[in-house]
Amino acid sequence: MKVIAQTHALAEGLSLVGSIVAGRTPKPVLQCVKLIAADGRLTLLATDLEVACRYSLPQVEIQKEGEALVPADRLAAIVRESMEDTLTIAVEKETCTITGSGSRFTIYGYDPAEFPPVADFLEAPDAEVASDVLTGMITRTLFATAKEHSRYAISGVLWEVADKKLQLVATDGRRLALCKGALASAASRSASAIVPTKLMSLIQRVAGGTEQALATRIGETQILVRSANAVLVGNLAQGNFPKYGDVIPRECNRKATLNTGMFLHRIRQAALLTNEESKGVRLSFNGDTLTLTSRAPETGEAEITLAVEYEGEPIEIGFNPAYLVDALKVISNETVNFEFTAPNRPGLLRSGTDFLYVLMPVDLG
Amino acid sequence: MSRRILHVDLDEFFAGVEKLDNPQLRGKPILVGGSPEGRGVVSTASYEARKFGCRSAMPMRQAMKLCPQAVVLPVRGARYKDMSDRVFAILDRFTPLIEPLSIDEAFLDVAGSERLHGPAVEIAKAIKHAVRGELGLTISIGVAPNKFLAKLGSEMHKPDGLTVIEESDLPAVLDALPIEKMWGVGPSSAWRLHELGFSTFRDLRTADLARLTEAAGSWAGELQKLAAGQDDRPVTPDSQAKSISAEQTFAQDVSDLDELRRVLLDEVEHVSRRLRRHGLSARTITLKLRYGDFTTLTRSATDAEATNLTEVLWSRAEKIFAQWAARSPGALRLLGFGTSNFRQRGDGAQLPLFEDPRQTRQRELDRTVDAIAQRFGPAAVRRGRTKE
Repeated sequence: MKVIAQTHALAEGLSLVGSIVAGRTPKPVLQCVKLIAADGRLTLLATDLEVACRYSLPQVEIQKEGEALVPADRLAAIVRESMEDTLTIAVEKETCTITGSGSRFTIYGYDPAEFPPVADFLEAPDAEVASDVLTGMITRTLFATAKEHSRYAISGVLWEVADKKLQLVATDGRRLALCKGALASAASRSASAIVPTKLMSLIQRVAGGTEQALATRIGETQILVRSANAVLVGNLAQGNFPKYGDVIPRECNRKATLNTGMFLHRIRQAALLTNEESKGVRLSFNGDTLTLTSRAPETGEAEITLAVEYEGEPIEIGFNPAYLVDALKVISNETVNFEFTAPNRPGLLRSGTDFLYVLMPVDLG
Repeated sequence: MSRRILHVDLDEFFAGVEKLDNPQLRGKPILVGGSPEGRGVVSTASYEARKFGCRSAMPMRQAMKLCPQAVVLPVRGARYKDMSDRVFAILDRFTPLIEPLSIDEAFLDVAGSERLHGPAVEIAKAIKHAVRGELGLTISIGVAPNKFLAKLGSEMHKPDGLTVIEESDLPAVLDALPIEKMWGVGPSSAWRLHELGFSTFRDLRTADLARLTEAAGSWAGELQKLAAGQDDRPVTPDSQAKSISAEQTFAQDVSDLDELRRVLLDEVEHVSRRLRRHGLSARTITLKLRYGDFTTLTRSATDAEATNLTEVLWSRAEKIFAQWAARSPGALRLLGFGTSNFRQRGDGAQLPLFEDPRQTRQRELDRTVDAIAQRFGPAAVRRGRTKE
């Protein structure tokens, strides 16, 4: 095998597939990237057996077709430290030589046949979604997934496709983010699956790098995503996603409208005087004023006020400020609606018609 | 600042209530407890029955042999609970710092009440007066600078006693006491101490610590302090407690797993009810298992979520119990269940978004059961599984 590739494109591809390569594994081949030079393109393959990625570089000159299996981090580091426009990669048996102007590296690889088979996305997609739409939706949901173990399968994002809509839902059991987006065209079939957090951020990376529509398909146990250059195939999370519809408040009799940026700023101020034991900030809505109070035992207290539009009986409700900040950071609309029913019932943060965030309060007694 | 601690202990409580409800029983030996058929044990022996050697926790059959003329009565839990509540209501007038030890026994810290109610001794007299005048029961009280001395005091002049132990009475008042009176010294450790020549508090107090350690292990230092009348444990009301627990010592060692599970479930119910009453939830549970030879195991588990639901605490306790039963079963002398690592309602902890619907139902059930128990006593309502 012998190819001449553009350094920049090669670095980008290796960075993407490199993020999949298994960190620690008893199988050294899983720490490798597989190179296939054929049909006028160089394909990079990586897998950790949960997720697999194929990345194609069309801007290559193939002098000799063939395959190679090379340690991913070494190859990526060599490419990253190269300044020339192109690099030549030549492979003889299991030895890989990377030649630039004034540099020549030889690294020892493995037999490409030892690499596990990597699935391709050859079936018809369920749906197509514009990459900027998907990237935005992932940004507004991924942060809410569970970081710790739960009896529900919530360390992933619920991915639901129906008609002309894609809906993503994420929760950690304390708050829930739900985002809707339009598909590029009507879905060929409805599908629902839980996509693990790590895979979801890979999908975001793949989507972020392109401008066209992405093709997606939910299989029995896998999700497949295809962009212009990359195919991502990953295992779905198994288990039950909680019945999230039940916790979205239907009728709220207390409604506030706030300036998103100002609210974020004020919440951050109030959060300055919270600590591990008293994480909550108390929100007191009364007339056109919102008063935020917080207290860190043996440290001090904060009282912050902010003008709001508010309808309904006054309410005092406490929230973990970090959870409010998480949501307010990803809302781009100038104003945000915040609605409540009672101090011990979830609050509902809404922005436009495509994003909502349900947040359970802290226990104020 | 010197502390003022009261230990209050109702005299022959169950028998006292029976005498109150049926004056003809006065002056007669009474045994309140389980039926002599089967494994019934004596809960309370009246002072008249104690003259015959009857003691609480003794098998009923044995007690009836010692005192065949005794009147044997069943335990009327609801009635005793009701009287106990009234006694605690009286105690509550004098201080909020009440640490209940059982249905008929509590520690009170009255240092802060002396300005309002007079010296501790006067408070003790007022409590005795109110309990006798309003309820017709007698209570023995020890007044002392710490819990250990207060408890020794209340035992010194039973029934209807009032004993004050001052710092200046030490060590005279303690020195002659036999080591069996020492808090935490049971028959087995008493035997070990006697072997090495320790028989009185004085022996413990003046012992060489290294030698005492041979007999009592790491506990020796504590033992010596107590023997000198030193004890700085605070009076901890349930609401501020770091742990809430219940334990039962059996008259005869119990190895039957079903029987032990029944006892454990009763303890779980009792403890979780106390948690609910104080708006507490616990993350950690502990089982205490003491074998007949006094070897004691404690097994704990901590869950991410704090709870006070009987069913949830039971399932956590049952899991530990099953592990114990599988690995190291044996005849137990004592079985205890405790909870710790609390969170308090209104403490600002994050609430969960998805409550298991079963938990919502359990919460309702607990509320109903608590209300019934509150009204008719804990024996009036029991979990299906505890039914015999």
